Amino acid sequence: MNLVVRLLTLVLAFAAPALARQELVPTPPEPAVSEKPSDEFLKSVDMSPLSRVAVHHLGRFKSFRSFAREWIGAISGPRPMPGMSDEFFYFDLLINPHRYDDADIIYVKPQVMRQRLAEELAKLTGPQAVAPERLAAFKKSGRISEVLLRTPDIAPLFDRWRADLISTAKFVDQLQSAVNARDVETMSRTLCLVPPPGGDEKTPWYPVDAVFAGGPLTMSDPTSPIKPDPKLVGALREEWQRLVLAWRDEDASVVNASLVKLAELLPQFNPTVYPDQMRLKWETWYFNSGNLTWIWLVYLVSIVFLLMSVAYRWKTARVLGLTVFLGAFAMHTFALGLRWYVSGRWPNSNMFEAVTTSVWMGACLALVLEVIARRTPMRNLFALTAATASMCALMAARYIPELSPNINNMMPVLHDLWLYIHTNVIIASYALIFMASVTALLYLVRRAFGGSADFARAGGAASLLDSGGKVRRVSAGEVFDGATMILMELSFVMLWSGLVMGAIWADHSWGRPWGWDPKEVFALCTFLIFLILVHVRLVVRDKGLWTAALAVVGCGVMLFNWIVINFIITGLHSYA
Amino acid sequence: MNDPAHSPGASSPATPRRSWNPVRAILELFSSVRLGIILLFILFIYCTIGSAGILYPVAWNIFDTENWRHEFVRTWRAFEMTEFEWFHTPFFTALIGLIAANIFITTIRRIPLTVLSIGVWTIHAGIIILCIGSVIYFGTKVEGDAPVIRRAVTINFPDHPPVTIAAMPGASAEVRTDAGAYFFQVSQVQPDWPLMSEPDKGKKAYSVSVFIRSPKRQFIRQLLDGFPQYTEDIIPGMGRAVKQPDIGVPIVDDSFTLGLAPFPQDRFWVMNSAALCVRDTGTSEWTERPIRGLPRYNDYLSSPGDAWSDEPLPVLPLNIPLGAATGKEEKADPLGEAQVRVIGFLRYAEARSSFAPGGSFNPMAEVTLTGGGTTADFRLLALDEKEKSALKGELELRLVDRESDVQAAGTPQPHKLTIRVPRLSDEYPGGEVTASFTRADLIRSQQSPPPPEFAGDTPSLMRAGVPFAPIPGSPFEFRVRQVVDRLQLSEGQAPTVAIVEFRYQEPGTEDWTTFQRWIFEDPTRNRDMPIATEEKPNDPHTTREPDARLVTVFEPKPQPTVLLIAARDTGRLAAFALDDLGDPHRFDLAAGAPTEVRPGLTLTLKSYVPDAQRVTKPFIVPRERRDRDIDTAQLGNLVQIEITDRGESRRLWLPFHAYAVESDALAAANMGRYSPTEITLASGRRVELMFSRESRRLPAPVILDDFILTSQVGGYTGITSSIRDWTSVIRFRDGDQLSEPSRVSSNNPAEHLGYWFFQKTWDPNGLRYTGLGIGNREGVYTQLAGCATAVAGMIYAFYVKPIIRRRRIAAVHATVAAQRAVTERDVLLGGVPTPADNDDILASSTEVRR
Repeated sequence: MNLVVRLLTLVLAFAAPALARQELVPTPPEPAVSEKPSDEFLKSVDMSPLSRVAVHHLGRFKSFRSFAREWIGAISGPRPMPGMSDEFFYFDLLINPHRYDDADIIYVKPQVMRQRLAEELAKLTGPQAVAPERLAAFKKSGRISEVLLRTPDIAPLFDRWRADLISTAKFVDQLQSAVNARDVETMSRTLCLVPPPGGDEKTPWYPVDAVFAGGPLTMSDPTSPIKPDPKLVGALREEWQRLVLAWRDEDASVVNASLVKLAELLPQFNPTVYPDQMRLKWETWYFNSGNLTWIWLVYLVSIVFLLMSVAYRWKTARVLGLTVFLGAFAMHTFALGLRWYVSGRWPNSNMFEAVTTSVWMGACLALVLEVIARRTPMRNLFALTAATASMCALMAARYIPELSPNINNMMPVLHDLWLYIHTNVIIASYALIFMASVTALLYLVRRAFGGSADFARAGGAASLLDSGGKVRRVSAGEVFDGATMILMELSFVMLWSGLVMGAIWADHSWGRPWGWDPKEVFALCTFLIFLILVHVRLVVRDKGLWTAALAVVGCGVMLFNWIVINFIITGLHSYA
Repeated sequence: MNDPAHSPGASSPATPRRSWNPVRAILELFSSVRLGIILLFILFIYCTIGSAGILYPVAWNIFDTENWRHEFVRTWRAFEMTEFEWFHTPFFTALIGLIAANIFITTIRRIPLTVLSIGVWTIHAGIIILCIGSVIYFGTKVEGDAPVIRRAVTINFPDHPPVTIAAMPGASAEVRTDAGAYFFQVSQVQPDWPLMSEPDKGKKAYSVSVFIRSPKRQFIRQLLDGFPQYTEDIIPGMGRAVKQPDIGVPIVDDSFTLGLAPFPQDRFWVMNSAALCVRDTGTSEWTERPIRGLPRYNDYLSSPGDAWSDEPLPVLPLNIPLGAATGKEEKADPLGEAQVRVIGFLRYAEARSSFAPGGSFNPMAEVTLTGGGTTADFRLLALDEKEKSALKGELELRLVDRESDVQAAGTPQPHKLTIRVPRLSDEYPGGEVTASFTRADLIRSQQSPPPPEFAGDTPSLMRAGVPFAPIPGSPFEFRVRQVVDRLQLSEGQAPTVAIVEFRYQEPGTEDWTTFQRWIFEDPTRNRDMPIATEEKPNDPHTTREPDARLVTVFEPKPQPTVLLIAARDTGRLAAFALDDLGDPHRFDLAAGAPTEVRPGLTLTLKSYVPDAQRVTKPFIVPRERRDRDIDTAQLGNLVQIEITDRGESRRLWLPFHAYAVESDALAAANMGRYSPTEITLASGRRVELMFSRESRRLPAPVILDDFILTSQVGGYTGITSSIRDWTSVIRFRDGDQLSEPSRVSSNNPAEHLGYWFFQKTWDPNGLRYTGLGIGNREGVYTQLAGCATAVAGMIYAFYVKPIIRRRRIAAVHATVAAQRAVTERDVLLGGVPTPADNDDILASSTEVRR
């Protein structure tokens, strides 16, 4: 028999590519009863003690909350499972994995794949038949069960998708990763909760398995730098076992007590390397609060009042609008500061951070401009444009899954002073470009409704100065055009400066100041649009219209650079 | 910004008509802001298309995203350009030149240099300086990269020149001395070997293990960089030499010395270049024939039969003649006067062999094995030593001359073991015994009941069943416990080993002394060791040299689990499979019919061709099956060359290599690829060819002192996100002098003699080398000065000029107010303002407006 085993082992080893094709379609596991944790247990379990627990994952000490969000996100997509917190679902998946064998928890992202899968599954008959309601729910939520994914009838579909390395293979890989991520072995191995006894900050943490028989924390090697306290190891082992058994029995009171005890025990393994409890709590709170992206609603309220103020020159609306805008900005500042505190770095290293920080800087500049323009007809306009930009950005951060709020380490190349100089100047200029497009759109709307072809004769910043601090009668067109020019001039200088700073960074990072990378080229293209705008203003009669149109085009090119180039045409700036 | 329409240079209707002057017309044209706008717009379109490509619908329903197609224009056959090339075309250069000319002429002719227009002048001057800097920069730019290997192993024999090999696994050398041939091969490299000896306990060192086969024995020598005092020899299966009681010293062979030394890199390979590298077979250094104008993105074939593809292939031949070689030390091009030209290029293809009937006798079988829920296909060639077997020898295709020999060939041949004992004493005059046994014999013997002496024993790993047999003329008895076919050894060999137990009674005692010997066909591998039990499992440190009183010779006859036998006379094919007892069973195979050759294991003969002839051609991998990493690294590229030598032409396909390295041991940075093609020229000269990149000599060789991996919190866990940074500690060798060490890490390059060195790639499998980006950067400071000047100009034009202007207006207002006051007073006093007074006021206002 050993020969058979050996032969098959060899066959398996040599047939790895073939096996890889088969991975998702072996014999389907026995259908398990799709139970759910009882409502009472769900309500009674208090996961809050875990807010003080840290996990070592991907080179960072995270709060268990953010770790669970990341992990569950990799399995079930960007939205939490209905009725369950990510922490609860993580533990239930770890302790009662059988419960989810045929539960719809694996997230399929592309709509096209959902549609095709649903079509194929709808063809199944007999005991394998899938209820139409379930398929409809799948198409909507994107979640499907592992059992359905392993249905042999859809294997050819997966083979086709896997063979297409350009369009679909990466999504099949993501599905495979999701299936792997819910594997109990994988979950146990990666749940590194135990700090290394006697180790330093650079020593890897251990999974809970380490305290069980044969684990590295149970060995007594005198030469090993690891000095576990046997009592502590025994206590953790006992508590973990108690937690698991109580969870299976749905004994909420014991589970709650165990979670409290675990949160106390874990830091004791090495208090010197354990992350600050305050930071862990704030990190948990930050993620529980939806990363504070709901602030877009406050910005929306400010926009309503500010628009009324701009349109009707209503003083109360102005006061209300500015007050709400200041409130939103304060909350935005707090969110940014909290993320800075939690991650330990200024938040501008991924798309979520770049987008939210960009508009925050836009709001800062808008406040400064509001102070300068407080006695001009342009007052309120800058706050309005900043509120609009912030609202759009925070909505995008909240509702677009690609803007993942997870906090991870920066790539080595980003550890440089120029990250803070170049990136912040560039993203601030992007915010200003967006804000300029808001006033430009207001101008275009006004023209569309018959407004006269006015323009700010003095230009941009000059129009602030020319007023001489006195409010004088000017048309709305002149005001909108003047505000557009002020924002455009600022963004013009900042974009060019940012490009130059990027070139300086690239010169000592990549060995060339300019590499014709798509991101670089499109930043240059955005600048070219504004260069054209500045010169067109010299030669055309309808300066206001051309300015507004080119400001909107410039914003379009900037957004193309930020969205299409980042997500579709990758280059050296793939992390930007 | 000034409005040129109001500038003094603007034409006035009052100006008399002049005769047409082409120089003036050109100057007028280039003084136009409108021309500038048009040029900027063209530049915008050009940049957009070059960088992002174009998107166009392929069906009427434009609302379906599936109906849109995206293409990079620069990759079309008409262009075949990288981004760098797209932005360095004559058109682009001319466009930038026209814009620079437009800026220059407009500024000079239409913008008077005043305090208010300094900003515009500065911006335009900055742009011109930037253009000049860019001309210098891009005109002199050389950019490339090079792998730098960390260490070399130096081999020194007395009276023999030193030999150096790279400290990369697989690198080998043979040294012939008077005492015989020594073979050296680097077997392992470990970057962080912990030192256990005082006073260096706790430190870590770069460890290189070298497998050595000397005329006397084979062993491994471990070298620790920076700690030569801890050099030790390890005898396979016996642990470290110093621990062996019969050796007792760390070095078992001191007839030579090994050491670690830097491995200098004196070249780098130019980005986006291509070259045909040539060398004489047996030599190490390559000479290069640059390939200029090679396509990059599309396939070009000289005839449709030159490659396989799933889609029809257009015939688009290339004709790129290759000039003379540029080699190291200007040595002669091995291709000499031979004419070489590139006639084909494939972007992503792989060599694929197919077999067709019609050749000489060459049996080929394609089979499918199904078992354990998986399926695998195999192609076996009876006459090819490498391809006649698969699954490490468990599946094989053999050839016999006659059909009548098939049955015999399918029956396992017995292994033969000879044990010889020399004369030990008068009581034991010595003797010899020979045992022949098959796998089935052994399995059956394991299943027989245990002999009485072991009855009641705790079942052990090895004890069960087989009785000992005496060796005549000696006190020894033996029994064969097991035969392991194809035992995987660390040096990559897989010999068959017989595990034989021996016992003897010490004189005057009843106790048996028992041990086992692992017996190989190569007797130098044989080792004795205690018998493993559950309580005492096998410990490699307890092995020892074979007991000299027992001379053993083993002649193995390994049998595949599944054996296919082709008969030359009938051309028929039969299969033999061993069952659980090791007995063979014959199956006659029919093409396409699955046959269960063992429980749970099915063999399907897909095709059998007795007279197969191999045809190897590139297969163009369909676009959707192309691996992006391989595609980006150009490792899918194949180039077809035609060599004409003394009237004889031949065509070859050559795969791309990122670096033309000397040997396969250095190919790690090539993603493992090292496949030079060897040909014999009409003159009989044998040369090797490789398709790679152009290389340039560095001003000074660079050596890698150390490579440091810095981790994030929690240490390096094997995943990239736990890495904080990579640091190469490099030095430059100027003659005999070594420079001070420079640390090159992300964002931290080093400069030496005009070249900059950047951290580019690393070796995740042992930190054995680093990848450095290398390039010059002439003109960068000019570019920077231009950019900074433009920034200063923008700030002035947007924010300083309005302040000056406002002050002037205020001053004018004040002047006007004062003059009005004077005028009113004069009027009141009876005076009348003169026209000159009014002109002064107007002139002041006009000046301000400028």
